Amino acid sequence: MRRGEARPARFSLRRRLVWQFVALSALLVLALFFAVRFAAERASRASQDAVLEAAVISIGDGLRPVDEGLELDLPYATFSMLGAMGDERVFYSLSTDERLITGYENLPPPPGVPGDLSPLFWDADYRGNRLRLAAISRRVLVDTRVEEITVTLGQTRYGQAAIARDTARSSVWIGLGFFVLALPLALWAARSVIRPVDRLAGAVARRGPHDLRPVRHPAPQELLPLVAALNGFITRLRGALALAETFIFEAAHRIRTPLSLVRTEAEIALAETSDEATRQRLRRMVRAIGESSRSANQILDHAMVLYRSDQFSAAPVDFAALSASVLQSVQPIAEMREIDMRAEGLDTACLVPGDDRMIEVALRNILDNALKYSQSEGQVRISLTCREGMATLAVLDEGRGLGPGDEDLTVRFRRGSNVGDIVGSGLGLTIVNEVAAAHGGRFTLQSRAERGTCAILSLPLSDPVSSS
Amino acid sequence: MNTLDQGADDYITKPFDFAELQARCRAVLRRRHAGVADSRQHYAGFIFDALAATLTIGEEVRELRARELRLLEILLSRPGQAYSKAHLIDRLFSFDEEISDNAIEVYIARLRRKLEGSGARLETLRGVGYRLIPE
Repeated sequence: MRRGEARPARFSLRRRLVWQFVALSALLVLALFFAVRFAAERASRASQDAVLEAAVISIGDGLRPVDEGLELDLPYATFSMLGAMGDERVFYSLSTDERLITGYENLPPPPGVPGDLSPLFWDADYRGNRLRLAAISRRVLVDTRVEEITVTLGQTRYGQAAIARDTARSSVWIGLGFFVLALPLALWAARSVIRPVDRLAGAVARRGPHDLRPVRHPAPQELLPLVAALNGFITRLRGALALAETFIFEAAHRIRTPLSLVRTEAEIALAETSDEATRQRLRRMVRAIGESSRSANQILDHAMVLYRSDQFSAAPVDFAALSASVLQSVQPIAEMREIDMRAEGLDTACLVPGDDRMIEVALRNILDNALKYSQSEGQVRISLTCREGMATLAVLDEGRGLGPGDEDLTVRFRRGSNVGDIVGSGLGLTIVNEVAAAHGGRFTLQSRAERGTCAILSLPLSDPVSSS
Repeated sequence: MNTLDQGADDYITKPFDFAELQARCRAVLRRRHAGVADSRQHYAGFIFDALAATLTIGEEVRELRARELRLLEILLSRPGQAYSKAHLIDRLFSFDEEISDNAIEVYIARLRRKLEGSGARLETLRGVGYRLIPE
């Protein structure tokens, strides 16, 4: 059986789908992580800013002008509020444009002019700490002068950073959980998408070699064009097969009819002329016609064998009876040339599983060959043995044997190197070999030690028990 | 093939070799009515049985080989008539065989030997051919 091997798949839809799902969910998990981190940081900063704002405004509100100076009523509640943010350090300063009034020296100056009501916020480094700073400016009357006083308040961000880290870490775990959940979901989704494709492929693959009906299996919408194309192909194949079969039979018939007419004419001409040169020419003509019709037959046989090996179905065939019947059909040809044909082992049934038409064609070709290459008054011996699981038919002739380098005459149109004037198409042994191969058997052709050729066709027996 | 199933004994595909057709007919006849009286032919002092492939002279039965038989058959179809070598070759050999004119002489000689004492003989007409005549 010949079955077209598909080329190795370049990619798998299922694998591709799974990978895409997995990559997509990894991307989503990453996006989730960054989004959560961003939101957490913003929320923590907003809450810190709110505390800083309240604190800096309340410090600003605590500034009061007194005689010859300024009094600051530090609101302790404010600092306890700042402390509630966690284990943070707080820095502050009160300054005019030129000098520091009180608080820490060299606090980073605000990047702009702080407002009166809403503070200005910024980040800066101070004494090895990353600070969030807020500043507010107030106009205060000091010694009959209006002074612009800037209140700056800074706070470290250790607690904030820790909260942000915690949030990010839990978002990583949540993301990983989602990812782990997404994996089986991706596999399941890919499987359910591919399942109809698998079912369709299975339905098409299960079809027997004879089944040339259109595919009617339900298919998903996306596969309908493929199914339609397949059905179109099947229809065309069926048409082509029918056409090829008709063509071969028709051609063989059309060729044989005029050939037989020409042959009859040539034979009549041969009977009516006594001129030796003309007779030789006519004889050659008749021979060529005979060869053409034999070739037509063999091409027909070959086509039949190819067709049947493709759609091989085995039934029990009595190899012995079939051999005997083919032998009887070639007997008259043997008699004409006084070739003595003897057979042994053809009386007991020998069942092989096979196609009787194919085996018959093979047998006829083997015997035709043996007769063709035998000399007049020669001998052809046929023996059939059924043992060790094989039915083996040996046909021995006393012809010219094989020429040097003729090991493989089963190649199409190859003929022996020593065929000389014997006509032939070079198809006969190819046919025998193909029949043997289709049955899981073997065909060999060897020169015999003395003279002639030994052709052996072995076919596997149906039942090894009955082979003895 | 179908015709064989319907009871035909044998078949031959066209264009056929006339000699092969004859051989096949003989084979079928032999299988069906071996030894019937119709197949016997008397000439001079012998009885020729084409189906049994025998030549009976008195009590003696001589077996004829395929080509001797066909040769005798041709010559007996019109005794006394001369047949050329070429004609005999055409009737005796398949066209597939490459045959020299001398090949026929072998069979003439053999048939002559078989016909010894039969009251008939094979005469060679130089430049014309052969004919069967009573002694």
